[in-house]
Amino acid sequence: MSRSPLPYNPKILELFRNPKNLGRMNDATVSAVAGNPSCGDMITFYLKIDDESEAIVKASFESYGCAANIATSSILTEMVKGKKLYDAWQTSWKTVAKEVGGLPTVKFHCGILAVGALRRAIRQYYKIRGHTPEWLPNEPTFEEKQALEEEELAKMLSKRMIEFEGEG
Amino acid sequence: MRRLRDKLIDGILNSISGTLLNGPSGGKRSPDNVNISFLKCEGESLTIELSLKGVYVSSGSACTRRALQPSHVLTAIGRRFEEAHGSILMKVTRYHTDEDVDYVLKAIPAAVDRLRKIYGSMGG
Repeated sequence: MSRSPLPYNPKILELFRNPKNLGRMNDATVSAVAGNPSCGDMITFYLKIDDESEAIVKASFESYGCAANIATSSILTEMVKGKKLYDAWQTSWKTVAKEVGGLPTVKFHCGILAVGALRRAIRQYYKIRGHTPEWLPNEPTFEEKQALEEEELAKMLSKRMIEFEGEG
Repeated sequence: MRRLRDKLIDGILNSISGTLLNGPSGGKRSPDNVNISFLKCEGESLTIELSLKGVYVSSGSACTRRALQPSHVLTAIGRRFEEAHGSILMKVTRYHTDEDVDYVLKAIPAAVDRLRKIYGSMGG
């Protein structure tokens, strides 16, 4: 019996206890670190991509975050495995939230962060390859903007801490 | 109570690396209060992991608060964001025994170890 601080459903707790595709991928084609501006959580997303088919062969993650962060990252690695990059890009954070059986409102940003990290990794892949497919938006999407790079996150948190102390 | 508090504090600080006691030690500390930050270990995850083992604690993590800000008390005493984000608060009472503390001292290193594996190699 768990007395978790938030009303997490059993699926999230199960993914938290037994996350899939966990850990650094040494032979990854691309990786992206993404931080959460809402609460300071961070994930790293690793993708192994087949260049010819532009499909995700495998995906893994590492997380400094809450149970919802771990669960959404874990399920997203499962959802995109075997998918073409175009199809993986279409995955919305709402679908991720649905797949984990629903997220508490205050944890929506965890699903957004997972999708943002994935999209950052996909964008990075095309940047390295030096070509942009037609379907890839020129401007970062909402999810990517929400998934800050490590340095941006550190700056934002330190600014927020100063403001916060000022209020006290 | 103070003896159990110190047993718990010393047991954690001596057995787990990357830990910080929040607040003073000894006579200046409230006799029932244990508040420790675990680096590379997120506080809300730690509260859930421990609750699955029957140890109920609270956290100063931003994730456990509706406001999504880390504990203002911890930041006021100079803790950085990630230190406050990985903190837990425990209370010892007159009803707790040495066996209880021994149990917690086994549960916490295992929980921290698992969460640090999820953290993996991030940040170098």
